[in-house]
Amino acid sequence: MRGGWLVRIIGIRILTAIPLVLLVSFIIFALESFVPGNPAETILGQNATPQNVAALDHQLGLNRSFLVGFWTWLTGVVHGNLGTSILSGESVSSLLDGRLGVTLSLVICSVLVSAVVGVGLGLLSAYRGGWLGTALDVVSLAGLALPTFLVGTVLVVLLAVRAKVFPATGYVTLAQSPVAWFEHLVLPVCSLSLLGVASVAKQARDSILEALEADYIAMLRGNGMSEREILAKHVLRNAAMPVITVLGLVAIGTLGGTVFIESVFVLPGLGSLATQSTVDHDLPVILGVGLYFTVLVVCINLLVDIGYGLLNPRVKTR
Amino acid sequence: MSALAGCARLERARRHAVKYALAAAGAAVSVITLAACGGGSGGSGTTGTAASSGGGGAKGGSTLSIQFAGPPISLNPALGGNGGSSVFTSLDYDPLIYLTGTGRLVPDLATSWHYVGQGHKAFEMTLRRGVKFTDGTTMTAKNAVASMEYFLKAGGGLVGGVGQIASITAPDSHTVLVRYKTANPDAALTMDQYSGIGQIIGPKGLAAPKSLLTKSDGTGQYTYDNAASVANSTYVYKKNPGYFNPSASQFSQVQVKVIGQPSAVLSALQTNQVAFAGGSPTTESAAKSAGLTVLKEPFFDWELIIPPQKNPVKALENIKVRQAIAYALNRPAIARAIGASTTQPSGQVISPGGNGYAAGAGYRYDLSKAKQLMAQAGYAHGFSLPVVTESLIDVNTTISQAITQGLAAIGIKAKLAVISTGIGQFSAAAQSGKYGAVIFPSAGTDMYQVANQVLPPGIFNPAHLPPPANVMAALNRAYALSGSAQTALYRKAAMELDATATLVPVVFTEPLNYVSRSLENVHESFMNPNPVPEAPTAALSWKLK
Repeated sequence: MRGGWLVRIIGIRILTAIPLVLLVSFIIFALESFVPGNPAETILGQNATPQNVAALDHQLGLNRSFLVGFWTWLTGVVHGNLGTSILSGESVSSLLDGRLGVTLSLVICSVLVSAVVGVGLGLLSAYRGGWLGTALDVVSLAGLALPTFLVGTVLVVLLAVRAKVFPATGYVTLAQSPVAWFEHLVLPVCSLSLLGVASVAKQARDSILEALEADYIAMLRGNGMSEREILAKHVLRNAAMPVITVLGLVAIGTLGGTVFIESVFVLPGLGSLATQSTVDHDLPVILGVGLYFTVLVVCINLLVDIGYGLLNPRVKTR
Repeated sequence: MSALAGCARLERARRHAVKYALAAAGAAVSVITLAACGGGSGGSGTTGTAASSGGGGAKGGSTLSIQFAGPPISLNPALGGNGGSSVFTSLDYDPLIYLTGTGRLVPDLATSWHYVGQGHKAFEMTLRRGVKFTDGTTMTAKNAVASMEYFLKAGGGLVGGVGQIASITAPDSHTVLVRYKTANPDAALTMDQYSGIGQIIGPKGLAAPKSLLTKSDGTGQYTYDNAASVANSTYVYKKNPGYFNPSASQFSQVQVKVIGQPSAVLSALQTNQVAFAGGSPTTESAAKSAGLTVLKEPFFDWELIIPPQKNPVKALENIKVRQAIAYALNRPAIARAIGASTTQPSGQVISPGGNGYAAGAGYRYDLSKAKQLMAQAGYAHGFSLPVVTESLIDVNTTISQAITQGLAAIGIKAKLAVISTGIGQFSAAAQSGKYGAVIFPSAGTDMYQVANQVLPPGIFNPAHLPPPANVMAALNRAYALSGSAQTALYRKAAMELDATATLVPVVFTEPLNYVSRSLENVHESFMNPNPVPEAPTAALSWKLK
């Protein structure tokens, strides 16, 4: 059946996602219980006396045992209820949904930039070599070594504060204004994708060089096939598999990077919510963020698998 | 500003503790880059007032955008914070009495007020007529009493700062009478926009308090726009067309943006995304170079808190040892080490300018006297001292390290435990009985506020000891008095408290506010270091140029 491989891959990913989500949530729940203090102490601040903390613990339902607490949360999730924030009283789902667009914008744009610019640079470097190859090595090293928040801060100072080309902070939704959305994303995406561009470019160059050195390419050349045809039909196709693997890793790494970048550029995404809720010991929100991030990772892996399937017929028949 | 004014800054610090590691690096880059670029026109560095000069300006017409470092504690004024975070509730809930940036109390929902009888135990306010809540309901004394009574039982963090209230009644439809169990000399101050109880909530809001998290029900110049706001990011307030004094409203909209990282705050100011923001010592020079007005006032009085009894380090139960510590700390050197532009030596439990501060009194550095006292107490070679501090307000524990290193001069080997997870967690650790001393700042503009903060059981009284009888005697007499007689007793109480050396003051710090050149009429003072944009008259309101 045509397309059966796609259904199989999606099915496998969904089946593996269930224990993964359970495991990640359990680990988050367990780790949070090791963090000193609790939300009641956070809420009460200076007024936190043992009596006040105990009373608020009872009021918030925080004095339940570890397993009972986890089971209560899990039961809610199964029924589509992620609970409410302990501090603000808002629904966790609405808190997360309101921020998902920001994080998705960052991740998708960064992966696209990493793919397009990275493959472009890799291609150029493989075909032209020389100084471009050396430059790519230097840029890759810099991209791997420089922390994203540092790159972001320098970009803000140079392009927002000095040159006043882009906004320094904030976010505008795509629906509000596509132009403003783009302007607000340029600097964060540039900061986030530096590592991705470097990784993809290096992988693309190595894979293209390896493909170019293969015997069958020499044979194709000998048979008179044009370089353009060789590149499009054979070299890029064969080099794409490892590049897609790297892109998947880049996308997952970018998710983590959003935590820093959202702080630097004051973007109301999931990353900044993760930071804030951790500081606040707001467990339902932390678990919700963990759940969303896990699902995003599963989706990224699924896309990578589909990419493999499209490029490699053996995956379809496996 | 109430004694609990520090809480909001504590809250702000707590909410953004994890971001400071990034902040330091970011700020360093900002400073380096600005310095490399030659800086701006040179900052005024004005203390006290944002002068109306210079060009530039925030875009957006009559929309004012300002920064606060963290999300609101609550949008319900009975549960909200004070200090700088008051802005989240002061925009939509006018107080009975308004505290101006320069520290004057002026009429707002109450047109006049006075104590009834002697002894500061009954306080009466006459309400403004014709004031309406957001839904059009007219404000009456009955509404005000209901709101104030709700505040007392709502369980918010500010309730401890409004005095011990015995009853709140409405003698007539426009008069509110508050009776206190013990004298409250700061009754008018506790009715301001920072104390919660004076911010009157309408009957609909009181009937459904949870609705106040998404819909305001006050009498303020602005109303909260939940649909346009993004929780923990941007809080939008629209002009209230039914405000009792329309000419006072200067903006069609006010946005409070949550920006925690100091370098991002500076960038937002420099690119006109916000016109007012809380500053940080790490960005102060860059802010001045960028032409921003830098406002700062003494606020936190950092103290080494030493329980005189039930102390796990028995040596500290000897007053000579505690006094030796007070003399051994080289405060000017510590202040210089921490940052001379925002830190000053402090030898008293109340900051200069506060009611109760006595010029010339307090502890000064005298190492030989300190060593002499240690020898007299039988501890000439010192001892080990476990000290607990936090890294939320004392970022990187710079202040705590400077203080504990100073103790080495008299042989005290301090071992610093740092709590970094929250002020609540720190509070619990401080009161655990494991530490001989605690490092934490107090805040207050008079001895009533300072005493209410440092004497009850808690961080400042971790062993839960009764307050010194002589100090309480002076304070209780002072609370019932006014003017110079009160000040004299406040000074007496402050000096007697200093003499116990249970709270050893070291330095006071000055939090920073940055004002863009586009904004004018922003004032702050020792009495009010956290000004808010709205005011009951146009003359007091902030204005965009």
